[in-house]
Order: sequence, then structure tokens, then C-alpha cells
Amino acid sequence: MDAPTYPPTKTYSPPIAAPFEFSGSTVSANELLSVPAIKDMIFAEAPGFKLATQSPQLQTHLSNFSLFSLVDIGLLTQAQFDRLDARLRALPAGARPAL
Amino acid sequence: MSGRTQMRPDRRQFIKVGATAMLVPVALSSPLDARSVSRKGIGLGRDQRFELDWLFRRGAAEGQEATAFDDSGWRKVDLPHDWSIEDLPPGPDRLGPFDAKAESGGDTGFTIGGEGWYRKHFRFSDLPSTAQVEIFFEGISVVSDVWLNGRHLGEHVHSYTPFAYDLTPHLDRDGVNILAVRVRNIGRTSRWYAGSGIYRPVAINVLPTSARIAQWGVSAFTRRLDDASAEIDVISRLEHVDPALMLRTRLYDGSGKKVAEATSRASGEVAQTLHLAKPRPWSPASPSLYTLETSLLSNEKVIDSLDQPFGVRIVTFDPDQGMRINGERIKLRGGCVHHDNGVLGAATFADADERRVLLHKARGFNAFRSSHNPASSAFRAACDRHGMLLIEEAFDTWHFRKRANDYHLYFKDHWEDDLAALVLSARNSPSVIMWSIGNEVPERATPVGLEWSWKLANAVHRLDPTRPVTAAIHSFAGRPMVAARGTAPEGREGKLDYSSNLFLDVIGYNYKLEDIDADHALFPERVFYASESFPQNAYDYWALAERAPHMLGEFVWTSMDYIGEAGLGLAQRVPVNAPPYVPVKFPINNAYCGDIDLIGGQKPQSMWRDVVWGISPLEMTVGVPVPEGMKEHVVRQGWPQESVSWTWPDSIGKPLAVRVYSSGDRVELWLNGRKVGDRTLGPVDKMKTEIKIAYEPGTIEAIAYRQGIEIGRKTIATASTPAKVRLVPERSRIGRDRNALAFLNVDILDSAGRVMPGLQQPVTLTINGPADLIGFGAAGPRAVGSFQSHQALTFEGRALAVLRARGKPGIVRIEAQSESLLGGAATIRLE
Repeated sequence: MDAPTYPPTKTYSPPIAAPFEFSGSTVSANELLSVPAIKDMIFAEAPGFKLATQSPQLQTHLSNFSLFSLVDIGLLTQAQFDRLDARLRALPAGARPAL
Repeated sequence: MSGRTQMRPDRRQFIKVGATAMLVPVALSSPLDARSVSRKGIGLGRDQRFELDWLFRRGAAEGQEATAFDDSGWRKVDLPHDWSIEDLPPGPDRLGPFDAKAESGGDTGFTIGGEGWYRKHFRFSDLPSTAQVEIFFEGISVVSDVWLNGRHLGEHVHSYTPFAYDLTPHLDRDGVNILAVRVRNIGRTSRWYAGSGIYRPVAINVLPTSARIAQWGVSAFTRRLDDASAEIDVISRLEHVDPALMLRTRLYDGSGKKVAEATSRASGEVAQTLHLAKPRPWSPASPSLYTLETSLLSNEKVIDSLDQPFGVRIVTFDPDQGMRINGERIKLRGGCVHHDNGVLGAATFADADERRVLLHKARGFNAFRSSHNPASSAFRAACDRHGMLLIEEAFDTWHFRKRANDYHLYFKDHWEDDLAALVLSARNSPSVIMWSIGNEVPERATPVGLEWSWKLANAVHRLDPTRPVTAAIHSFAGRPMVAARGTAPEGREGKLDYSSNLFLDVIGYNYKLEDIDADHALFPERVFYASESFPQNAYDYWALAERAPHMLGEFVWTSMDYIGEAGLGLAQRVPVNAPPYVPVKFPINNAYCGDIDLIGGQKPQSMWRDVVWGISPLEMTVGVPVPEGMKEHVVRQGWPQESVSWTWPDSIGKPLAVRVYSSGDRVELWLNGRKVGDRTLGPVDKMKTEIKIAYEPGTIEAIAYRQGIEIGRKTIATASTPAKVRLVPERSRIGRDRNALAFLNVDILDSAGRVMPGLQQPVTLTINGPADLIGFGAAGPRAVGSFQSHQALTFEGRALAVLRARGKPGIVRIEAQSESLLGGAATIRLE
């Protein structure tokens, strides 16, 4: 058998985003919170999450969490996520974060 | 560091120059240096240990690097050394080295860093005028500066990567040389216990001329393998050579027989191929090692040489076959490990690292993820020898911090050098199967993070194109993207993937069990493994791994307890109306999430894993009773409090939860000869069941059956009162060199020889003979005092003592006393 190799590539170009459905599962919490209106909506629904975002440690990681994944770590309940997700999906394109 | 040298760290390598070997002794220079006795001369050669007779002082002060600085009041230490595990001056809320007010809090287990200084006095006699001298540090925690004779040689900022300085330009060839090292561990530098000081080995290379094999300059790779032969490509980087020199590469088998050789004219980079007949491949089941010898010759005389262990193996990854080693499918049964050695702190001893590897092997593990930093060379060498697979991880942070003073401060300026140090120093180890470029990196899916993901992966591929790149991805993996032409890894051009995974060859998911199948369905060419998993999910991960070829296996967080991340996995007892979040407070100082406890014992989750992994058909534990008015708060990273104990004098008549773990389809429970429980087990039970029975002292027995045939039986008997202390050395003979360690298990037994569960008993040790006690403690989640005192409290009736040989042969006698108990004794021979 021959060993595989993993050669380097020459240059970097930014990857190309594929079409996706905007929702609470497909956007990071950081991206959502960058839009003041969305931020207010999320914090109004989940004041516990609002409190948690004051933690510098969580702030650092917000780009690695979607609202859906926050349910998994207990910062949102499933019910909170379901309501927020429905409202996010209903947002017009102009109200969404620039991605 | 040379693998062979590591296995016998006292052996020096002498190089023949001309017709004779030249010994260049290091000697005392003056009465001022009487404390700095180098016990052995340093000759020409590589990897000569330089760890004895350093001087140490904790604390900052001006001028401590100066040659004339008066260090007469400093303490003598032999490296490796970690001052964070040393006892603090007594004070309120202090227990040994643990301080409730430690700046890093539970992150580092309430230990304290600060600033420390090391100095070493040495000189050479008759050093050839052309000789080149280099000092090699394998690891200093955290930020270090090194001076030679008052001249600053450099700063190093990554706690876990090796580095070297050329001493030659500043060496006093005729007089006393002073090496000074300042180490700073200031602020919140780590999310786990890192230790402080020169905690990994130090060595000196003395080469006769400037012509040399470059540091980590040899790479060897099995390009082709079948039963009859193997072809091994070797690329050697050389420095300051001219074409008159020759490079000779040899391969020796385990018996020392030369089995392949190639000789070429020397140049900056020499490519050779070794043709090996009838290879003995390396694999977890059969970790056969060769020795790769690289020699630089001048007129047929060796002027530089280094040996490395080498394993002939080919590792492949694909979604249809999973991971294969030499064509055989192997699933990863892995554990994430931090680097500390428990009661020894971060101090890296080959014996301690090997012990950890063997403890894991005994529990059925076959792989480690070195979290979140490069492993020591000793740990890696132990993995090579014992057939354990290893993911080496470079970084826990890139540009964004996880803690105020962590490596993010230095990443931008130092990532390339530190990544190179990791990859180049470890690339010839057969155990290393993947390079991880980061753990849960905060910015990984941002546009800037994506470019850095490519940059890091690409840098690794340039340094070592023979192994895949991975990373540990948690939570949100990003949105689907396509890597641009020329940017995508080979074979992945135009293919869709989540942004975090785009530039990874193998995808590691932290706690994303449900996403593995789902994401494989979206991206069917990808292979995945669980880079971190909860112990409570062991069955589900193993079931997935067994079923799905694209699932390579798991690495549990963690396979062994560690100091720091205090209470991460601890199940606490709290009032019934307590809120769901339970803070962790001093003196909890141990993460307490591991399968194996801090001193090497097996914890209840490990017993379930033994059953899941097929090591045992049956195990039994008992839930530790919860006091009235309280509830048990079990966290995802942990496990309920359980004990292998049927000694509950305060629970007579009360229901106790007996937890039976079995691969059988039926289990019976018997108490004092009466059947008290009978359960069938199906897939939904995941090999565990709980039977509540009213406690009465005596003997409880579980019997497991499969299709009517008994497959296992376990018994736990009520212990009586503590009667004696038992001391059992793990090895009765060890080496005599300064880095040889002896581990002794200290148990409190009743009169029938049963370990006393739940017992915290003070035990005092007396040591007579040529060894020092360097660690003594137990595995509990809470700090109770020193790890370096001759007295320790047992936890669950057990403790561990660690002795370090003083460097001479002899017999060491250890006695253990505990009030009102019969004492114990043991002897260890140092050879």
C-alpha cells in the first residue's frame, strides 16, 4: 500500500458561501447580536442569556454558538429557541445581519 | 531528544573525533560554586542531560541574570521542577500549594504562579576551539528568558514547545559560565493547571564543529509498505556542510541489526530512500520500533549523529473504511489528557509519563489527544513503545483570549515558530496520527478565522505532508461553504463543507454526538471523530463507532483527572431547592471528570466503560447515599458519586442504589445469600441498570448472564474497622539515575485485607535509603494539604507516594504509619 500525503496549497482565497436558510441554527449568536433590533428581541425573550453575555468568557465564544447550540448548554430553553427561531425566519432580508 | 537517550537518560553519547573519543568534563570552578556540583562530565555529543545542580529562587529582583549576582542563598534543585506544586508559606485559606485567593482561581486548581529564577554554574575544560555548544529546553512554563554570562539569549512564550539556544558565541571556554533563566507565570495564563518553572527536560548538545544535522532536521516517512518490503523516504537538513562531507542514514531493528542504509554527499537538504526487506510494521497491537541513525561523516569519521525511534506504518482515513493502520481497521478508544502528573504537578519524568500511558492501556484506551498543547517527548516516546496513538495539539487560542494572559497575547508573533517546533520535533513518532491546529478556537468560523485556519493547516502540511490536520470543533460549525480553487485541500476542491471544517483533513467534534451522522449525510466524503465526549455518553459513542465507518472513535474528556478546572465533573450534594447552577469553591481543586483518578485508580465511569468496551462483562458500584434534604447535582462532564463499597453503617435499612454495569442480558443481585434483584438488559439500557435495595451489612453479589450462561460475577463485602496500612510498590526494582521514580500505592485495609472505602486517614511515611519523597497525596476532589509532605490524607482509603532516586544504587526502605493501625513497609532496590 502507498501512504497518503497531504500537500500544502499555494495561496488563499476566501471561501465562497453556499446558499442557506436563515434561522436560529444557521447563524452565529455573535452575528445575530450585531444587529441591535435582533439583539433586543433575543434579550427580551431570554433575559438569562442576556445576563450570561456579560461574561467575558462567553463573549469570546459567541461566534462559535448558534442560538440552537445555546439550548444544548442551557443558556436558552427549547421553547425560547423555538419562538426566537420562528421570528428570525420571518425577518425580511433587510433586517438580517450582513453575512 | 533522542528516543534512546530518553529511555536511559543517564547515558551520554560520545562521538569519536579522529581516532579517539574526547571527553570534555564540566568541573567546579571555585568555592563559590561548591553547591553547583555537576556530578558527571559533559563530553561531545547530543542529548546530554543538564538537569542537576541548578539553583532556584522564587520571586522577582533586579540583576539576577548578572554573572556576578550572589546566588549563594538560593536553593539547589534538580530539574524537572515545578514551583506551583510546592507548599506556600502557611496562611489563612491555604492548604499546601493551594490558596483560595490564587489569581487564576479554580482554573489552575488554586495554585500560584509568579516569577522564579534559575541559575547554573558550569565550565568546560579542554573544549575544542571549533566545538559548538547548544542548550535545549523541552518546556518552560510559562514565559522564559535565558541569559548566558549576562547576555540575553532569547525569550520563549509557549509553555509546551521545545526550543534551543546557541551558547557558543557567549561561552567562556576557560572560566565559569553562568546560565540564568527567568520564568514568569503572571496573571491568568491558563484554563487548567500548567505549573511554573523548567518543568521538562534540559539537555546540552556539544558538537565538534559547526557542520551539523539541523535541529529536528531529519524526517522519515513510510511511503510504501507491503509484507515483503517497505520504502522509507528520509529527508535530512544539514547546516554548514560542504560536499566533502557524507550523510549516512541507517536503520536498525529491535535487536540492533542493521537492516537498511543509504549514504549520500552532504548538502543543505539530502533526500534518501531506505529499502527495508520483511518489515515489522508498527501498530497498536504490535508496536515494533526500529532505530533511525543519521550520521554526518568527515573522512569516514562521525562528526555528528543522532538516533531516533522509528515505526514503519501507514495510516489512512476514508469514510468507507474509517481509520486503517497498515490496512487494518482500528477504532479510536481515546482519552483527552492534560500534561500534569497529579501529585508531581507539571514536572515531567519519563517514568511518570510512561505510567500514565500504561494506566490507560490497562483500561483499554488506545489513543490520546494531548490537550490542548504538545505532549512531552517522554509521553510521546511511551506512546511509541506501547502502541498508543496520539493527536498532538498546538493551540488552545489563536488571536482571541480565553483567559486574560494566555497565549493569545503571543500567537500573532510566535505561532509559526511554535507550530514548527511541535511538528518538526514530533513528526518521526509513529504514534502521532494527526496534528490539531486548535481547540474550540473562538474566531475559527469568522472570515479572519477562516484564513487563519487555512494558514495553520497549510503550515502544517508544509512541515509534514504525511499526516492529516484536524481541530476540535464545538457547537456551531459555521455555514456551508466551498473552498476556492487552489485553496482547498487536495481532493476537496469544489466540495461543500461547514466553514470551520473546510481546511481540516479529519474533523474533530467536541460534544456533537448527534451531528456526526447528520453532517456525514451532508458531506459524505468526510470522516469524523469525537475530539471530546462526556463520560455519560460512552455507550452511544461506542455504538456509533461500531456502526459507522465514518466515525473514527472518541476521546473522552478526560481519561484521567487533573489539577485545575476545579470541580468540572464533580457531582455535588446540594439542598433540594438549590438552583441548577452550583458554583465550585475552594478547596475543590481537581477537575474530577476523569475515568482514572489523580493517582491512577479507577473511577465508577471507568467501570462502565470497561463493560462498554468489552474489557469486563460485569462491574458493580453503589450510589453514595444522599443526605436527607439534599439532592445530587450531576453535571454533564461528570458522574454520580458512586463507590465500590458495601460499607454504609449509617444507612441500615435504607434503600441504596446498586448500579450494575454489564454486557449481559440479565443480571441478578444477591444479598447475604438472598436474591434481591433480577433485571433483564436490552439495548435501551446501554449496559447499565440500577437496583435499589435496603442496606444490611454483609456481602452483595451481582451475577450476569447472557443467553442463560453466566458471564460474570462481582462481590462487594462490608469492610470492618481499619486495621493496617499496606504499602505496595508498583515496581520493586528501578534505576538509580536521578530521574528514576518509584510509585507506591498506600492503602488502608481492614483485617480481611479489604480497602477501606470512604476513609480519610492520615498516613506518615519514613524513607531510608538513596531516594527522596517527591510526591505524596490522594485522589480526592478537594485540596487537603501538601503533595510534598511525608504525611498525607487518604481518599477512599488510598494514596500514592512517589520517590525519586538520588543517583546511586542501594536499597530504599519505606515505612508507613497511621495512628492505631498496624504499619506497613516496603523496599525498593535501586540498580
